[in-house]
Amino acid sequence: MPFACIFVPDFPVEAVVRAEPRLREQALAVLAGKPPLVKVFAVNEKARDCGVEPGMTKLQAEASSEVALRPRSLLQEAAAHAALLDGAQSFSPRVEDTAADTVILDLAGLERLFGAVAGIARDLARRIADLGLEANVAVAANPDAAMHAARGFPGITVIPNGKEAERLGDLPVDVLLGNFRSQESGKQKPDVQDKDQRALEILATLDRWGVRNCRTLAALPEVALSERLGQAGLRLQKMARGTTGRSLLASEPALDFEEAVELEYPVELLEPLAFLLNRLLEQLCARLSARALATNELRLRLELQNSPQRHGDTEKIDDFEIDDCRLKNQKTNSSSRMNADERGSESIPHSSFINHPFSRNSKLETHDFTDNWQPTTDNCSLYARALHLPLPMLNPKTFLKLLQLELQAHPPGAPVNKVWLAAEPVRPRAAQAGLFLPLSPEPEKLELTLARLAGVVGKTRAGSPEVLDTHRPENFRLRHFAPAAPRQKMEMPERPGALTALRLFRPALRASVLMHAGAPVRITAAIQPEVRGEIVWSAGPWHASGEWWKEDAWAREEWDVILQNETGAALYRLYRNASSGQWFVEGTYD
Amino acid sequence: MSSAVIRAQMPSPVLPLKKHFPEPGSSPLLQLPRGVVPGSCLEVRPAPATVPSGIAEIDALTGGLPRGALTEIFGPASSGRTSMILSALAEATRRQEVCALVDAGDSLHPESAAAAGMDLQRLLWIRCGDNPPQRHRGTEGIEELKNEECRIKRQRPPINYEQPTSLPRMNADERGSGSIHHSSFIIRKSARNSKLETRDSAGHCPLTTDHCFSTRQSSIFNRKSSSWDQRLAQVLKATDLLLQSGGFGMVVVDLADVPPRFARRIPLASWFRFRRAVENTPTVLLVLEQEPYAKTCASLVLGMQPAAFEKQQPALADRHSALSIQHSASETFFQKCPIQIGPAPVPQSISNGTAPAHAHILRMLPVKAELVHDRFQRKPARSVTAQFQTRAAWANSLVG
Repeated sequence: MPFACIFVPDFPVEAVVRAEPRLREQALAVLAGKPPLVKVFAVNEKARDCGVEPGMTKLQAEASSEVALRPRSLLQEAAAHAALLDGAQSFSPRVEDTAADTVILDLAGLERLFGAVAGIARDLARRIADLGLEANVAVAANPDAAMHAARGFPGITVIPNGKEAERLGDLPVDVLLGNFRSQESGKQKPDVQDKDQRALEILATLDRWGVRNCRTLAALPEVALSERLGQAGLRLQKMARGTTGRSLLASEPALDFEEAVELEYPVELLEPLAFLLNRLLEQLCARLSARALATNELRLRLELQNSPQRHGDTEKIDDFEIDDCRLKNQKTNSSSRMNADERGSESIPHSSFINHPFSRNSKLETHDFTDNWQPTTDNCSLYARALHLPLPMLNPKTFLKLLQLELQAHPPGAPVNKVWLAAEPVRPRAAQAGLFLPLSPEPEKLELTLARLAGVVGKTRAGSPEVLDTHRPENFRLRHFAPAAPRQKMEMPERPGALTALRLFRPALRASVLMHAGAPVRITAAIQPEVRGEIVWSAGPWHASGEWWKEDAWAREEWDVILQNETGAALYRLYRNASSGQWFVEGTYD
Repeated sequence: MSSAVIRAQMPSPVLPLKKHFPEPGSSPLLQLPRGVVPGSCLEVRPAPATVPSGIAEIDALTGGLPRGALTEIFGPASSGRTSMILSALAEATRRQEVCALVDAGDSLHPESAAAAGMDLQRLLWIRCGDNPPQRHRGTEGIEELKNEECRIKRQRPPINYEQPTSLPRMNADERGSGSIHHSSFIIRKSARNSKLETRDSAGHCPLTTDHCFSTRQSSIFNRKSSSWDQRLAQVLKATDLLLQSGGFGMVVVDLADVPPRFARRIPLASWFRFRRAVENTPTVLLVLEQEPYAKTCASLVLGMQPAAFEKQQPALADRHSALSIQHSASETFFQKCPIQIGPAPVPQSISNGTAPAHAHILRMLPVKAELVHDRFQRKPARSVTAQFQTRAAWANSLVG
């Protein structure tokens, strides 16, 4: 039964690089801590070559001008971890969330689907690279051997069954101790410092014995090792031989598709913000694609730097949206907590975040976007927009354009410090177009067109009319335009023939009307010169009223008239408001 | 045509030389092998695909509305333009096509559209108006917002001392106006209208209200001008977006309410762009207007006018020729008179002008349509017209 392990070396650095891909070719150090105790937390290989090591102070790291320094971002690390899980889940349903930088998956039965194990390992590495992370992938007969190989060997490693001891023999003992410590702590549940102390003691003992790699450790006599190091020593030896047997703790990760980026400097213009959004959208779409999902709702939240000259309207929108977001947060928090409980773990364990090399797999921090997503200071406020799509889509370019149009219509009104983007996962749309079906716009294009039209005429002025079940004038509302897909079998209802249509004046034209013998004989509408003249024929009045029990009750009497003037004759509908006695020209029959 | 067939039709290289080079005096066309069309013979333009308009008389006159072309329908008010457009849209939605209506005057009556048989779910209605959304242009920063705020403050009109201190409560109809300038206009007129009401109720005073709003007319029309310009800009943008988006079976641009002096300002390049945008697509582009503006860019131009209004006789005796009228429903019910559809016999009392107004009812509107221009057919030797009638929505219920 083969297992594959995906391990992302220098995970905090990779999380930063995932958000800023141009840093991949540079020496990079990630800083953590509160000033003035800011220290180097993690580095990549190029930074190590420049002499920068974890634990150095920021001043020491700044001495090397080639090294780029970035603050640690827990949001980005959580997003990178979620992406790692999504990549693994796209291959196998049995995935163990071992640590923030390590994922183990069961490959049993996947050969029929994806081919040989070596090919699966290559595809796994490619999929993780598509998600913006560079990872080591190792395949072995048991989970621990696969994990040690992934942590010890760069690139793709496939260990044949029975060759574990031989292949793991070259690895240093340090690689084993991380996993060993986690198993020890699982039984005794000591605090982190005790675990680190225990690991350090074992490492020091082995070092004194001259045992520095797995091959040497595997060759030690079992009884003698047990006498000196106890059961911990024996377990360590089994790991070095690659013979440990344990079952995979498979977990079902929650379908949370969220990406975030924290900015060093606030962004003031929409154009650079669009670049950030594009990156986040590409990452989100890659994750959704890995899980064979699409989205029908995008939620954007921005942390704004408060400004005394904020726009009034924007502030109102923000307040409203924040309330909305709080409600959503409560829901999301409850769901995420449920998922966490189901997994049996309270937090995501991180392995390589600590300066100490043996302190891997320590369960350190809780990463919950919604919990973390609060204004960092009192001087910040939140701005949120939700983009509802009528159909599931998965096109980052379309999403970006829609978000741009949304932001242009409702600008944030203040510089942006943080960007948070979430997608609601849904099943992708499956539609088979027929050859003989009538023409209809592409859903993605139609959504873009509607968004652009909303920018031209207003959001509430483009849509599909719906006649309401009331006799009140203007008895309609506009709905979001989402035409139903054409049916294969066309039903052709009978048409009533050409009907006389009414064209409305919006607003109705105020008019003065001269009455004679109870019928209108002359009309004058001030702002429409055409509607002025003698009435040569009239029909009415038709009384209508309704909703008398409401404050805005309405009552009117309608007339159909033919108006004759120098421009010709035309048919109009007049009405007199019963409450005010005012006359109005409602429209023309055309 | 397969390559084998082509080879069979081409002359063989071993043919005698005289077959390739005809003798002087003989026609070279006669020497061409069978099936080879000479280049001088231009291909006959294929007839465009057309769709029915929903009115049999119009279809007989034009052969249907052409796809991939611009069609203009023009005429004065009450000439049946809107009825025809709604009929064409209803027909398109019956074919399950997605349609769009760019409404410059915001004048669509959804109830009429539904009564015409239109599937409103397949209609995208774009209501051009005076209040476009606030756009964040150019550099979207705080400075821009501040500038915008300052500009709005600068543009704020001075205080109008004519306005009453306590504003009258607007009723439901006035609230529907939506635009700010209109409501202020109503407030200014309120005092004068109270006088009008008094005179109306008396019913004896001859009404000459032309002078009433003369002081405010100029400013109102200035606002109206800018409003129409703004609406036309929205119409052009929206139409461009719709045509570029593609996939619409029918796009209707309703300029019927736009005064010609504004609509004439639409550059010919815009019409040409629209024509090119719909070319080779299955979209039917219809433009509704008071007079033709697209000139040669239109493939089909239809002129509409009310059939009975041609003579424009305002005399009371002739008013019934314009409309088919009949007794009101209640009167018919009590008299148990059979009601007919079509040119109903006019009761004597009505034709004498003695019948009360509530005894009349609008039943149908006779319309005359004229084929002014058709790019796909030869120009007709004389005016080709067709007449039809549009029925009022309540005509069916009267019969029942």
